[in-house]
Amino acid sequence: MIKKHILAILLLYSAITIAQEHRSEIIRSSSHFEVRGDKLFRTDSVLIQINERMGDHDTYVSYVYSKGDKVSIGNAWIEDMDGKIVRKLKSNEIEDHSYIRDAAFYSDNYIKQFQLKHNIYPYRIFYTAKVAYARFTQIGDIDYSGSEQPIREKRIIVETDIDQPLKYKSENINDPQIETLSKSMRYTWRFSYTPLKREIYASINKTNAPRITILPNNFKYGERGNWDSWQSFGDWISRLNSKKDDLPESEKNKIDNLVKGITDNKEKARILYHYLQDNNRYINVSIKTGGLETHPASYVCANRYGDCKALSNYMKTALDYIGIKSYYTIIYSDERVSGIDPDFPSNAFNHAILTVPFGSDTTYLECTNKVLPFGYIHSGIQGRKALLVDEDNSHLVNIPAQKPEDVLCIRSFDVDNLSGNASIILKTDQKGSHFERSTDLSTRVNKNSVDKYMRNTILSGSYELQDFKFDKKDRDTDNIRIEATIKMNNVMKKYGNNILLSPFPLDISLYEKPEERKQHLQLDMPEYYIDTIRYQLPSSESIAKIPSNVNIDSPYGKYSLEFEIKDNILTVTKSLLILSGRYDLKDYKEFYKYIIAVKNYENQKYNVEIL
Amino acid sequence: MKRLLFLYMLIVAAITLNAQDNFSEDWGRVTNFEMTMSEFAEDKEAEALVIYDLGEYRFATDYQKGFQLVMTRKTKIKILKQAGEKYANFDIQFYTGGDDWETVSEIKATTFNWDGNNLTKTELDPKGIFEEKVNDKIRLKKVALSNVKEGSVIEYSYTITTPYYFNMREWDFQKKIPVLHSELQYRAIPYYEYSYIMKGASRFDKMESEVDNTDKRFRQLEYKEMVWTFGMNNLPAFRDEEFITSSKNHMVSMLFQISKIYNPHGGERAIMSTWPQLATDFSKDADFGGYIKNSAKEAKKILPTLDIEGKSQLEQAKIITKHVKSMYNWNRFYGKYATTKVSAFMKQKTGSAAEINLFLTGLLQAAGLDANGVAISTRENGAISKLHPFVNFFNYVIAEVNIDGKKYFLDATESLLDFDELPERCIHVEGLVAKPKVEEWIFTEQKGEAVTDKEYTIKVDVENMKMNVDANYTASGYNAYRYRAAYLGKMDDLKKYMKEEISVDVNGDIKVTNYDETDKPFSFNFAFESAIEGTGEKLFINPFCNLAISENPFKQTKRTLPVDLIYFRGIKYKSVIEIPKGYVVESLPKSSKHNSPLFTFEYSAKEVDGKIEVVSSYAYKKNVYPAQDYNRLKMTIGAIINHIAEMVVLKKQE
Repeated sequence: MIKKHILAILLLYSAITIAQEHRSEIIRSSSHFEVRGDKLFRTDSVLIQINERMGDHDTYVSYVYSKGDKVSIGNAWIEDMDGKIVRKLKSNEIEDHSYIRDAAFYSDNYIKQFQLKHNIYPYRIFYTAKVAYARFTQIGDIDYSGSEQPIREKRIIVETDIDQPLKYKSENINDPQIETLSKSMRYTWRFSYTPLKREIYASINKTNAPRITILPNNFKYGERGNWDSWQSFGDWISRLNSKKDDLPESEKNKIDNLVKGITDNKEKARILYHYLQDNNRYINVSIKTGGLETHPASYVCANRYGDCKALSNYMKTALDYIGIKSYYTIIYSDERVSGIDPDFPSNAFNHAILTVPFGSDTTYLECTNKVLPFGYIHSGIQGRKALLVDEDNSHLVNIPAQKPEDVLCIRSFDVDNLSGNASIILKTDQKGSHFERSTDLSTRVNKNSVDKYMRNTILSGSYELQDFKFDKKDRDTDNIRIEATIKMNNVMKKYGNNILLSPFPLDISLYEKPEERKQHLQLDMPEYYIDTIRYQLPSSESIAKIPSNVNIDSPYGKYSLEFEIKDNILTVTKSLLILSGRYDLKDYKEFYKYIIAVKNYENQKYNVEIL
Repeated sequence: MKRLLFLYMLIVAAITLNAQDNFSEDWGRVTNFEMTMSEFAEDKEAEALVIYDLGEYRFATDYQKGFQLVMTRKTKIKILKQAGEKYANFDIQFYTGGDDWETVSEIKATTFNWDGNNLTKTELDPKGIFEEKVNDKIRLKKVALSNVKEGSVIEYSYTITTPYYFNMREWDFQKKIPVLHSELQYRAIPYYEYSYIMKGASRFDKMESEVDNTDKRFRQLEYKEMVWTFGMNNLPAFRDEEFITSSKNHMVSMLFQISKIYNPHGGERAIMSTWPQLATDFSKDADFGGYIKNSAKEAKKILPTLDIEGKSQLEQAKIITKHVKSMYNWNRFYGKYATTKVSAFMKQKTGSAAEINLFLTGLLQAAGLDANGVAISTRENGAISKLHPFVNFFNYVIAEVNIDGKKYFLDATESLLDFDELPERCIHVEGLVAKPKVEEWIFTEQKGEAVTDKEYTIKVDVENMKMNVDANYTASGYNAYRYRAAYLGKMDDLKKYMKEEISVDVNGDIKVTNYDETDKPFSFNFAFESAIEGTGEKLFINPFCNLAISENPFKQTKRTLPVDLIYFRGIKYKSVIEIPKGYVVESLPKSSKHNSPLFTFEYSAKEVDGKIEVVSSYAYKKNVYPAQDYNRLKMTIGAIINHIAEMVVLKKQE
């Protein structure tokens, strides 16, 4: 993982959600940054109001820092609503320990934190803190879109040398007031914020949340760099990571042996990629400038492990060695796609991959995954911009988006013995994000985890998983088949001359009603499913009528549900497509109409009339 | 008969010999079989296999520090699947707080790989060892082995040296992957005596003791070591199952506690001997009994503000408990001892379960009530073995108060639970009352059954093929707790909960009764719409709006561990359906009654005055079922789901 150098307070939120009134709010907060040479000094002064007991979750204050940085907590106290100090924080109440994020194995980051809590509501917490950062690439990169805490008044002040103007970009924040002092410039931003409630697939690119990125023109972080352009940032990354291509002789021999006799470049790359997958594992150790600087190729050869940077750099070095050009590429990896402004270079990335051009055809390699096919573009990197690093020719590239046929999941059900405990043979071919999860699961198959996975992603409801089998044609196939035998009660119920058959509904997300929805919609990936269900009806029944077909065509996707009866086998064929897209709030009503219609059809039992 | 026995022994001997050939326990040596095996025949799902796990606990002598407890572990693991690679990263926890500290030394590790022709050995680079500061007292050595992949065999060892002789590490024989051989050797010296307890099994495969005749000397002492060996072979992987109390009750492990210290110059000091002694220790400990006393002193300022004068003892206990619940927050730590002073706790308004409940006990005592602290072992911490008076069993404190001959157990960490309602983690467990010189055990019961009454009044809208439902839910016990926690005074949060948990899109407001009155059931009213099936000629109506139980919680095909449902629970449904104009009843679901020692279930449907009334209920009769009841439970619930899914059929009047 690449460290996104966010100089913001780590906000600790509990899982408990907030309704109209807010459990806590920021009354006023100011962050004062001062750029002095290659160092950055930050002074915070914050007043938070805790409105109710649940707001006590927001009484933790914490600062994450790296080795070499210095954090000092100044005054901190609890005050009542009349401004009377209830109690002051004591220095022994401040904790200081390692801060290692989940995905990391080790890093030299630390956290300083304290809590100030009272029990007469509302009350207020005031604190000041100073941070001296030994190195930095960005001054501030603050995004409130995940926050549920209102801000009545926030001030960000940045002072910088008069010959070191800032670069900045903001949303939902007015332009700064800029003052020219004798030797420095002072920028002041002021804003407030009332957060909206969390909503499903709310746009992360068009929100009402204040966001601001403030950059120095020049910086020194290991190497000197600047934010003049994407190209200059890429150039800096490339200098930071230069001379990391030290492939040991023994490794060169191994590579020579692996590709001996192969002429096709793509085939060579595929062999090396498999070799990478089979022999290395992901371990993220980040010390000093390790958030952005990669370990050398020799490190991976010696340890057979590394993080995204180290593994990508190693792969690049190995490809270079056999004469295949590839490019270290940095990207923001997440299932949600955040926009990147082509006109505002910043460190908007958290991950590294490799771009390998083969003529007009380009392959992207995810070097941290041991099971994905060669060149597979997974849902965490699809459909977004990334920065291709190529010394003085670095530039943004577009990683292709997953198309409906890339995510198509097919299920087929053969349902027998309807009158009792039905036995069902389920065959499913998974692609897209379902494939990514299944293929990972297939490496550690055990009944409990498969059972859970099946219920969460393939078929919900009450049944017993009796047997299952994973089947993948070869390691570079982008789909995986799961065959399962399941037992299920209640599939068929007979009422007089009606037979009601349980459907096998697709799991469709729950969306807010249009009258409640406040935010724009952003669907980052399409969803595409095709189901075939064959019910073997008892041969004693004569079928008089089967349900009618359904077809819905909408700008947001397509749905069809078709019935056919032959030899007492009722075959139901359905197809559901939900397109990816970014939709304005005014279109939400129509989208919702489509989704809810599909949902209703999906959950309805099939009513077959008999004679 | 004799001959048969002989034959049997021969076969066993042959298998054992083979097994020894396949695997090696010599440090630094791997066998062809280890390197080439691709799965573990006895457990094909296993992602890795512990070939051996050997411990040696002994006392070393240090002229400055005296006796030091030295614990060495040597382990060899075969990585069978990619997912097993995680066993090549491990943490060693050690303590650095206080005047003295533990050290971790001699971390050695080797990775063996076989490519079909060559065996390669990769030694651990010391750069692959990191130290994480977890807090002021605890640190971790983090180790990542190099060159690990599917098929690798890894071998590692390390030594922990501690001046804290009471901190003899637990030995876990069983793991989440199969273990071929696990053995702990303990070299006892005559000055420290430990008791041990075995969990998850009733006997060791190997248990030996012998005197090592080497004479040992330290300062003026001369002694011999007694060597104890505890071994287990072929332990299966422990895989989590649903509805188990605590994996700690079932995984094979061994715990130690120092019981006596013998003075070399004569005399002994019992560290742990009896339960009454432990109870006495608790009642006198500065961070237990002392904490209660100090809290009682603080109570002089608090009690006068609580208006308890002249109230009954029960009323007083309720008011005091409510005060503690509303004024102090639980920081989610457990603990059997307080770790901060009473004054600091009162300032910070937040504390561990021990601090909160010892404080509560102090307040109750100050009000003149007969209250005590009770040390318990929470459910996930595992059961207490009465044969072994180990203080380490306990991990939590609750309060007890005796009023008019009745005992009430209190826990002020959860404000949404009633006065004497304990959180799930504390029910159906044993506790030792902290009173001097007596051994008094309590058993915590569930206060009331967790039942939800769900009532639906249904109006059918034939034109739109839907039904408009008015629902009323009334929940008691832990069910009420769950809804209260979802609500927290905010209707929108409850609406969200209903949507996310049971897929009900509530129309309009939810009307809530008894949110604060935790002694009463929590009740709420809401309206929603639900689809109906049919053609217009015929309507099929699910009387409980498809909201009744539809997924069998019991999914396993076989069960070996008891089924622990934590608490007694049940549910009641009632539905009143107005028959729409122009329709008559074609069929109603059959009525049914089932009552077994495991379970009760009732269902009835009838037509009364143009309305259909459907009533159903089910309840578990036990909170813990033996494993052999699993299948019957599964079948019973399956049948209930089947019955509850039955439809009411209406047809158009001719």
